[in-house]
Amino acid sequence: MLTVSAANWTPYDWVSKAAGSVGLRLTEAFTAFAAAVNANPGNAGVPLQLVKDHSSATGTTNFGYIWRLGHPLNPYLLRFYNTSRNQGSSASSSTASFTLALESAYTDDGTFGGYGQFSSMLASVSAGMSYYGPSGSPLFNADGRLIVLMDTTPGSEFFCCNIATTNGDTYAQNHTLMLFRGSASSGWNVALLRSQALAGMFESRNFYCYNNNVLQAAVTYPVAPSGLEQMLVTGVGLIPSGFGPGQMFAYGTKQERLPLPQLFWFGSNQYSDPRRLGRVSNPGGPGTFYQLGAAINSGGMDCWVLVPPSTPAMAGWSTIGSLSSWQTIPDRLYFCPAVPPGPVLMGPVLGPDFLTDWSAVALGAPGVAQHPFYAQQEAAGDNGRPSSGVLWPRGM
Amino acid sequence: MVATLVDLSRRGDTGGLVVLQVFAAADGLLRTWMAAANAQNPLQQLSIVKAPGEVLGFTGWVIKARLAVLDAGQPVELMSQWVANLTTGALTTHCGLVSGYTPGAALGGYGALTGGVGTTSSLITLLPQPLPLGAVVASSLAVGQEYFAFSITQHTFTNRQAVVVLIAKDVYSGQWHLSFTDMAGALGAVAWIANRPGAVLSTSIRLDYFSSATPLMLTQPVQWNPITPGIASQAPQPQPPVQWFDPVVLPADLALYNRTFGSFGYFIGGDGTQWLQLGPARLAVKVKDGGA
Repeated sequence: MLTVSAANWTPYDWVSKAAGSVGLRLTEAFTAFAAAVNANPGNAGVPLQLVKDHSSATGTTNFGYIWRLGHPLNPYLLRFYNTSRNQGSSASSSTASFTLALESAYTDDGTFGGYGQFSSMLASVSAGMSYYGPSGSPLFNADGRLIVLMDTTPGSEFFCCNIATTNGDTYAQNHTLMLFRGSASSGWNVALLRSQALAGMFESRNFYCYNNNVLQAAVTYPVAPSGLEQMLVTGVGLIPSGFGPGQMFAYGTKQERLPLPQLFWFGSNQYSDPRRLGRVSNPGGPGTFYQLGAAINSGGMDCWVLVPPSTPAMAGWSTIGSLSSWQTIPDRLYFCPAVPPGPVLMGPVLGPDFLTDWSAVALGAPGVAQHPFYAQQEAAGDNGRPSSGVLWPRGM
Repeated sequence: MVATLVDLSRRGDTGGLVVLQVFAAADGLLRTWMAAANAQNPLQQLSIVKAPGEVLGFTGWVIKARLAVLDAGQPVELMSQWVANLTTGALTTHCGLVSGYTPGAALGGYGALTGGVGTTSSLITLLPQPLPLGAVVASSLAVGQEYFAFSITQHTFTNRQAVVVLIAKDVYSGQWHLSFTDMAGALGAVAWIANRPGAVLSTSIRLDYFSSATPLMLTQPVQWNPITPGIASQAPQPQPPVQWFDPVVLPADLALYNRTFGSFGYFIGGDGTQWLQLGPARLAVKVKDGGA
């Protein structure tokens, strides 16, 4: 079942631990999702679990949570902490971090705002909650929102949370974190999209998927449009690096794709920057597009979501359309869906290998005899064609 | 389903201009295929407006596709043009709407097609000396998945190869669409998107991975990237409205393989399917089904 839920704060005091504050509502959403999907067939070995939440934060300026991504062989922890209300607008900030690491590398010693440390990490990405004024100085009174999208349908489970400020969003990071399953991988896959606010502030797209039972960094293919086409697309999926035996996308195999959830659209909205918090009535059918993250500069990637009509919110939450902060965007944006991509036939380690991959460039006379196409022509004799003057078969 | 393949490659040393001989042979195959394709798609109509041998000093095709779609009460008609000047080597390619076509003196009588996408270059080699020509026609009449592709390569450089003719169903809309590559790998396509409604032009294919290095991947289905209305600046108003572009998709026998931009590479997939690369834009066509 798909739900799209929203909560809104004016102002948005993310360090608060009061009932109904942003950190605790995130916990509420995540635990509801975990309870639903852990019972799904196929998820017995990969339970999601709340390890810590915002109530575990030490000090009055900390925020964080730890989620456990269960896996029969290699469970990982996803840790987010933010230990200063004023963590700086630089991407090198060490006071705000999104971390993925093996559970076995974790020490729960109260460091990092109460969220502990890892002896080694797969990913450590600066990702903070602060927001800034046009001058670059921190502000502490912005309004903000939490949007939670989840689908608990067996086989297409995903959880997505999006945190953004709703006034002065141009000067805040908004980030979108996604956990999703796919039949091509053995566990929960992760995407983190950070939209830049101030120039120089955090901005990236990070993807991780289980490959050969280990969580690993991945890239997205096809590359989402990032130019001035103002184009948003579907059909983007993950491909981890490393194509050896036993891995996803191993050379010489037929490999099913690992698509990002099909509700999400990626691409460019750069020319019109800083259009943010956008809402578009679907020009191609039912539903409404909402903008979760904005691409601010070259290489950035917009993230939008197409919400079907009458999609419910979780009990006690608002619908996404009820937020008053959306800006209706009438122009300069093109939705270009992909047909569902088919499996990939992987090529050899190096081409040409003369077993599965021949290039006419590399042939020469001996190669001609081995080229399946030309060899067939040779074997067929003149094949009803003129006996002289034809290139294949040639008299060798 | 697999392509019906006809190899038209010539050694080029028996006199005359081998390009003309091969184009004439391809034209015969095109007419045979087109008659059958029209018979099984009676609401649409493909036709050849100009063909090789009709105009002295030039060769190539002007092809028209009338669709089973009305626009302002009239059937939508698409057109593609691929014309070589046999004196200068100038090559003119274009895809667009028939309304952009002016028959007559242009291109020696092939007429002028404008308003779509196209290229001009001088990259066809017309030396009087013997010059081999690799040439393949790959086609299918599988219902709903029909296509006709004629691909040539004068040598293995990527700037002397082309998919001269590619007529194919847009398997998303069920209507014909027309496309080409020129002799340097530039693509052009025109299709009609029922949802807009309107013509959509394209000069690129949605490619998973651009590099010719590993990972080498044969991917399907093949989908054109639409050309979206350009945004020159945030002013002036009004700007193009928010729009939706339905996919334009090639038949299931066609795929992309990022191994090389060279023609006639050959790939055997892990499932046993076999593929021949056509032209300089990494299109590949299935020539054999898998064993399993």
